[in-house]
Amino acid sequence: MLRLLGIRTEGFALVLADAGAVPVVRLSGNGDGEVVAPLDRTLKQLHDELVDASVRSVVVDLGALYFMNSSCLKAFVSWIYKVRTSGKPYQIRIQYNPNQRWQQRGLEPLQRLAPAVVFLDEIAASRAATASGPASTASGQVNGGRNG
Amino acid sequence: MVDGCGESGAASHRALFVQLSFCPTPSLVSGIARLVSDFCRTGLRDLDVTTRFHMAAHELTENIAKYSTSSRAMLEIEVTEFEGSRLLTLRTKNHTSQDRLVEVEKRLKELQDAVDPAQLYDRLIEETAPLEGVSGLGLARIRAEGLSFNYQISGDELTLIVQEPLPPPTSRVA
Repeated sequence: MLRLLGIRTEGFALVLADAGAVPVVRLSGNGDGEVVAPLDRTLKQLHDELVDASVRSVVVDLGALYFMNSSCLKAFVSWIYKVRTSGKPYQIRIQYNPNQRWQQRGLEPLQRLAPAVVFLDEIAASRAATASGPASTASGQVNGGRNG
Repeated sequence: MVDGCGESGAASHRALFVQLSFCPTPSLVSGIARLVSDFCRTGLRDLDVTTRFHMAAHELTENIAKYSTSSRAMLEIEVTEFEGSRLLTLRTKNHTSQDRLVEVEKRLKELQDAVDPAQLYDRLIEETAPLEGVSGLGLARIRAEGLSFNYQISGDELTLIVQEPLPPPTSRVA
């Protein structure tokens, strides 16, 4: 059972939305410089918990994430690298919002870093439109996966 | 395009611009990036350009907040027109240390010389992946997203210039 505390600030949140067999981590808001340190810490904690729980796949929902700077992307790079080089790799399935144009461009290099670990799934248009709003808690389908 | 409040020069016409003088501090970074995003969204109505310049403004302003050695920096975003073609330019100026200037010039030269900026960005990601507390990806990210980069160094002042050609102007928006 995962016990991730997550992050909640005025402009950003990372929450464990589902602690089941395929955990879901949901990010929202603005991933700027003030978020880098807590995000890095939280992703390290998440990795340790996922390895301890022998999880095979985790979903990262970016539907309501407005922006992520390069330092926050680097926190993801460190996490992905750790998964790629660990003895118990698991899949990271990143759900991106096609309405947030930066997401696909920004995430594809992460997939190229570890194509066997990172999968990009486009959120369905109906949900993407809802998720782009700041207060959305909608859940829904994703369109087919993209991987290397 | 929205109404310009342009300035005419001998070489080009400055159709639309914003100039901002600001105190380099992390708490202003997101707001300044949003200003650039609003400028692009309102003036250009091109979502791809808007999101790429929002990202570029965020990365550049964040670097300024980290590395400036004076209490004043400058950001300028403008659309210029010349003989029917348009150019979007984001320009930042700040003062910084000699050590930083040496480091950033080395990176900028590497970015300018890169035949494949996306491949260079991938390489930097791979190289920095095992390193703790090191990012250094911001400038490479801007270049990898297809934006052209230029820079000038004068004394301790660093000017960074990010540009993107735009399609010719269409009919005026009411």
